Amino acid sequence: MNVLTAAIFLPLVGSIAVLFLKKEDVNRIRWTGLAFAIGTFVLCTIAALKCFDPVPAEGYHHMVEAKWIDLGGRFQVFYRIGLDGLSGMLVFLTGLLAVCAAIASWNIEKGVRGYWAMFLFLHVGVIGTFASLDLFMFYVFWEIMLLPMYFLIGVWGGPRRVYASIKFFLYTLFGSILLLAGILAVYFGLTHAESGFTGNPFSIPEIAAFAASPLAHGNILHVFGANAATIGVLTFWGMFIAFAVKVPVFPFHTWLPDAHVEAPTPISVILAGILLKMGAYGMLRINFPFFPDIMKDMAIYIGLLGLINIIYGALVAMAQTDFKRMVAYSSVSHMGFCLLGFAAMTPEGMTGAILQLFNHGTISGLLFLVVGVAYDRAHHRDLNRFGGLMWNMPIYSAISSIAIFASLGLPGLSGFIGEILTFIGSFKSEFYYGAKIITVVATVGLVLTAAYYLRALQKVYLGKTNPACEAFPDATLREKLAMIPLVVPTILFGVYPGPLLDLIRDSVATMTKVASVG
Amino acid sequence: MIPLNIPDLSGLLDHFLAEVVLCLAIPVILVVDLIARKGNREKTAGTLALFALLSAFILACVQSTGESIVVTKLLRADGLAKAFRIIALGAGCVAAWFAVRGGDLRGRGHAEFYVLLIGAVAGACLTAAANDMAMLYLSIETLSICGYLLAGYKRNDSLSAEAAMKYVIFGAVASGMMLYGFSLLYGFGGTSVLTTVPGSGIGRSLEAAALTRAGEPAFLIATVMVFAGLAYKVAAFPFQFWCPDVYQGAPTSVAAFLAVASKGAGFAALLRVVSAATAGGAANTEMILSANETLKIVLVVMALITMTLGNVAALRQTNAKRLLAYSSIAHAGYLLLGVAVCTDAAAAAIVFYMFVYLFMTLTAFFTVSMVERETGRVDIDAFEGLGFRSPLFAGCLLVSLLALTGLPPTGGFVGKFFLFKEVFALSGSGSANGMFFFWAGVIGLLNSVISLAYYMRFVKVMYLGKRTDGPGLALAPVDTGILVGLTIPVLLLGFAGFVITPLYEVAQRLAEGIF
Repeated sequence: MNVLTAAIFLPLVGSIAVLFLKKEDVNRIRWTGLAFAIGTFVLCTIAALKCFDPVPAEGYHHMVEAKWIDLGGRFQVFYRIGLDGLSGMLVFLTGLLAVCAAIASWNIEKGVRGYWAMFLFLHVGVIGTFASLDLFMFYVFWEIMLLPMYFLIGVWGGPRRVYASIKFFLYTLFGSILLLAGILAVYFGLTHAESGFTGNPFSIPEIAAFAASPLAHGNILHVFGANAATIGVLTFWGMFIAFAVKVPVFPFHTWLPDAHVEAPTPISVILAGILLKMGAYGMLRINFPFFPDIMKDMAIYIGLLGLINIIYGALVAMAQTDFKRMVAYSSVSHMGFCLLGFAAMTPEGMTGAILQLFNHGTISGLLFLVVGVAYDRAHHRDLNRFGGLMWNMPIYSAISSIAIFASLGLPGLSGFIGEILTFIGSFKSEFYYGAKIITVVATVGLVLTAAYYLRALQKVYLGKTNPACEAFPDATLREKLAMIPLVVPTILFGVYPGPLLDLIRDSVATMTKVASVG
Repeated sequence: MIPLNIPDLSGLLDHFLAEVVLCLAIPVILVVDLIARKGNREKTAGTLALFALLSAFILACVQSTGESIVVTKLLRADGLAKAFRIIALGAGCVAAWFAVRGGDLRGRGHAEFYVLLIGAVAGACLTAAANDMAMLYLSIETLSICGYLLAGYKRNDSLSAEAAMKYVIFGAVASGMMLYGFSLLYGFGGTSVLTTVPGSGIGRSLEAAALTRAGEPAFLIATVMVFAGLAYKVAAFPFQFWCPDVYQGAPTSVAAFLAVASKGAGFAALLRVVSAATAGGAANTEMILSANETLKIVLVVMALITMTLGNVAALRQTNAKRLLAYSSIAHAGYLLLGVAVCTDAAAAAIVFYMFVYLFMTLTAFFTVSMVERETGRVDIDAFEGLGFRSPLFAGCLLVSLLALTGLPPTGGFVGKFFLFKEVFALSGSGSANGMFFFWAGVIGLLNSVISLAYYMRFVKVMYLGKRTDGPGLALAPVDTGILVGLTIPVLLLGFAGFVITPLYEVAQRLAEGIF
């Protein structure tokens, strides 16, 4: 059996298996859930390791193509999966965070069986999305994760969970519907008799190849005649918004602070670590390759949106007194770097942005775990009511400092590599006019980031120990086990990013090909 | 003076066995009711009605596999008739089951109720098959009049009485408009036949008339008037006002029946009329083409207003039946958008969607009916905590709500995908209206975001509310069985290629040659 298929559906098996356990048998449920999470991680890792090999003839590793829904004519949906370096990296990240989040899920006491079933089911959607090479299938997996996430926030979340969960659901569905409209427009555009496209209208690689070829006349939707240019631009932005909601890009980000803050710790980890990456991945896999010419015209707006994300996210993070909310807004800011790198379309910028995806996944996951540990002890997250934690919680504080320094981009830790490459790539970009100015302004974001993180570090960990915090025990073994797997890549890839660079080299080359089309 | 022509029905009856069974069942039930023992009457009538509907349903399913198409001046036994007959009969069976088992008719499920229900089903079946304006009118009225009586069946309930009254008044206005439209169309063709009957020698039909005269303003006005009348049946703008009140006041079984069978019959009739009225496109003259384009725009505008109105109004509802009424209005809008496309492929998508709609809507109504029986309440709060107390029951409702929203992996998503894939084909016609149709598709899709907000209110109440530990709903195994039986197709149609493909092929075959 294909290892990638196994990685997609193992969590589904786990989700069903958990439901067969007795409700009261809480520990057995947890261990079963963890076992499936580890199994998924192992399968994801095996699948990702294969991506170091040279690209096979069919273009992707672990490629599977099986007919799924065949309505005759051109409407043929395939079960079509495969990995390249980019998706391999993200699948590995998903497996890694699944294990950490599973360990962090131990203190969920309410409705344990339902929680673990939903938790595992969520990963089916995530891994499936990263692995899909068929538009229809991509969309199905993309949507499948909405419902478990809705329940995970809505049932197991904080005080405003009901509001946060439906907000999350509505925002992301709004985006998804625009994606669906885009898929339908592309389907129609490609199956039209005069489109010049002979492949499968759902195949992501075939459409991308067609878009780059002269047959597409610079717009895969050219069959719309007089309306082609307008519909092309609308479809491009529709799809962009679909992915932008997930990233999230200003002004579609407002679901994020609510969802992150209300979600239980392990779910925040997955939200920040993986779900945000799905949006960026969608842009790279679908949005930009399908519309290379339109992308060229629109790159400046994407760069500007990235800039707004960086500055706006950092400024809002600065104004927060809630630790978790601050980390949530820092995600908005950090995902802006990715947009900046995408818009640049230079090898350095693209490499930096993709590295940033991975590094932000581990670092922000770690930060949410850190916040969770503090919350479990203090039952609040107010930055002003902590203080001097490093004296009685040295190990925890050390891990926290690593996370914070990595996130603000200290050289030697993994956050730095992605950011510096992004800036270099964006500064030398010729892809759109004004890249240099945008890059220079964006560097202000680094200062702001340092400001709010150092303030948090000072308020929570340094100084005199707050009397209310004196009795806090240091991180327990379970908490350490959840955090250390994320500390390792943060340091390792900060010192030696070589393996990650090798992994994504071919993908970067493919992605930046967009720049040379047209 | 047109000679009175009594058609030879002998060859036709074979194709309408299901309807014959229904017509025979009506006197049988009435007579048996007279002679049955007093304590047993209710049960006997219900059982007989269920038996009749089920056997008619099976007959209709068996006959749907036949390839033959019989066309007479009165009726067409073609794919469309067969498809919508199955839908009407299926909804009839489930509605009868609600009436037997549900809460709202307890102690009053008399023979009359089942006779009226069977009459309505027969009316719906014939509406889908009618090939003549007079026949269409008669069968729609059969359906409607039975519907009026069914809606007001709870005589002592003022809501039910109000529902029936509103239904009658709106129905009268709508049929009046439709009749006026028919009379104008009759003037164009000199005949009341909708589609040309092969071998009848004369090409006299609305279809034939459209070839030469569809561009005339009066033709357009007449067609739009007929649309208005049919809009009442499918609960589309501008005749959707009755829908929430009637669904709320009528017995739940009747509401479910109206939501599926009545709507289905309306769409079958609408497809036939639109097909006949736009047949002039074959003449390819500029005037007629632009007239057809205008018709499409009228339909698209009707569709967009209908779905947006239904979805927005549903946001404020607290009564489950009223909420489902607005949801059914919204679905009329989606389907209407499919009608506007005017192609066989779109008709196939409509048939496919109707099949999914049958299952998902009936599942939702089934749960409402069961909660009503157990608690006597039909407000959304009556579902509180059911997610934990009756997990299977709540799970079934959850699946149907996701399907109604159009989320994968449910049949609602696949149905919507097929439907809107055809809608987007409109925008590529290269016409100047392409942009308009493109936006129509986008707005249609975006409507599901609005609908999510109110469908999720059930989910919120069931799962996110206070966790009440108490006994769940006391459902008989047979009820649970039927509920799960209705839900499984909704789920399977969402991802199982081996179910989707054959059903789509059936839909495609049944919809062939409509346009």
